[in-house]
Formats: sequence, structure tokens, C-alpha cells
Amino acid sequence: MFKSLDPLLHSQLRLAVMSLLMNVEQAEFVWIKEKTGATAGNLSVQLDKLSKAKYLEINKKFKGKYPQTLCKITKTGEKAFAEYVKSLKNYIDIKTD
Amino acid sequence: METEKSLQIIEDMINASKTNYKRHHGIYFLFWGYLSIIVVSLFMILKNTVGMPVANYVWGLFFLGFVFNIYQMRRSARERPVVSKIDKMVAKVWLGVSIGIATLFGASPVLGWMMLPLVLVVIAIATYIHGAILSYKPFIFGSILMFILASISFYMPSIDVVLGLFVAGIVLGYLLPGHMLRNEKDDV
Repeated sequence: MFKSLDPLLHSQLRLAVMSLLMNVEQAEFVWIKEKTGATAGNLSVQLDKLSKAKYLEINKKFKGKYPQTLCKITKTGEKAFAEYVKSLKNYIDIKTD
Repeated sequence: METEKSLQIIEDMINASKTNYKRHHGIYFLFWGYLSIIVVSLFMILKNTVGMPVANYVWGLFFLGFVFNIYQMRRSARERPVVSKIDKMVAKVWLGVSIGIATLFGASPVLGWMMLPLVLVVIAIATYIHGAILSYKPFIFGSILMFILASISFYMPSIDVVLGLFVAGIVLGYLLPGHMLRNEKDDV
């Protein structure tokens, strides 16, 4: 029996963002943009979706004179990501059997 | 999106997040290393000039150092593009150590001068853990040296020798590896 995949995570950029943030404590918007190769506009939209689902915590601050956006994965986000990976493994296992 | 593609993205991003920003860890070793040398030197000068009760106030500088350290850590976290899990883990280790050292200072009327070798042992334990987490051998060797100097200190009858060994431990086992780390390059 296939488990349904979280539609919020089953998108290339959102999954990339979550995978990155799973491995760090917090990261700047610019760093995520650089690592994912996404455009600023697209990344903003996807971060907003993840934030609305409470998967991410986004803090907007100032670094000197410049605005700074810090992103951090939440417990809900960690749980959703773990569940997504578990479901994926389920798919792979069934395919290889 | 295919499941294989999802797994590939996850794997690629895990690799992309493996940045090795460890150079900034050295700054704390330099700060506490030099502060320790200043405090112990000031203490020795005041002890031999104005006497013990006044000289003991000098240890309070460590508390100011702790407050400054917290401020600096917060500022540094804001300035770096990414804060790794390692950064947080190491910060927690040193917070525990700070509480341990404060406990030892609190017990100094009972412990007397044996407090200093005990403080050196606590610092050595944290330096060893820090070195193991960062996979940075100079910290591990430095901690072993501090363990040895602390062991010798327990058998020293003179306060001045205990203070001297403490400073030697800090300089060779803590400050020197801190400078070495500051001179390393981050893998970005």
C-alpha cells in the first residue's frame, strides 16, 4: 500500500529547501538561493508556502543597513520531512521487490 | 515528480549543506585565552602589592567576559550566512562548562587553590569534545596537555606554581590551537 506523499514537499524547490534546512540550524535567504540555484522571486513564494504550513520559521532582520531573512526548520517541518522520506522509501521498496 | 528524483534532490542538498565553517570557532579560544592570561597576571600583581581580598575581585572579570561572549555569539550568528548544527552543539557544551566553572568558583572557599587545576580539567574536557566534534586535532592535543598540567598542579604546594601551570595550560593547550584554527581556511 502506497502512502500518499506530502504535496507541499513533493515539489522540487520546496523539497530542496527543506533538505538544506534539515542539516543546518538556520540559514540566510541568500545562502539558500545560492545552494538551490533558484530565483529570488520563486524562492520567496516557496518559502512563504512552507512558512504558512508552519514547516519553516522566517525571521526578517537587519544586517547593518541591509535587510536579512533568516530561515529555520520547525519541529512540524522536521516531522513532515521525516514522514515524506519514510513514504518515499516505501515507494522505492515496493518497486524493487 | 519521480521518487528517484526526490531522493536525488535530498542527497544533493544534504551534500550542499555540508559546509565546513569552523574558522570562527577560534575567536572564542583567543578571547578566553587572552582574558585568562590578563586575569591571572592582574591577580598575581595585586596579590603581591595590595593583598588578597582586593586581588580576588579580579576573578569577576570572567563574568564580564561571559556576558561579552554571549553578545558576541549572537552577533556572529547574525553575520554568518548559515549556522550549522555543530555551532549550536558546541555552544551548548561551553555553556555547560561555564556553569561548571562558576560552580567551582563558588566552591573556592572550600577548594582553595585546588580550584584552578579543577577549572583546567573542566576546560580540557570541553576542549577535547570541541576538538572531537570539529575533527580538529590541535584541540585534542591541547586538551591532553591541559590534563597533564592539571594533574601536576594538584601536587604543587605553592600558589604561584599552580597559577603558572594554569597559564601554561591555557597558552599551550587552548590559546595556541585557537590561533592555529583562526589561520585555517574555511571550506565553502
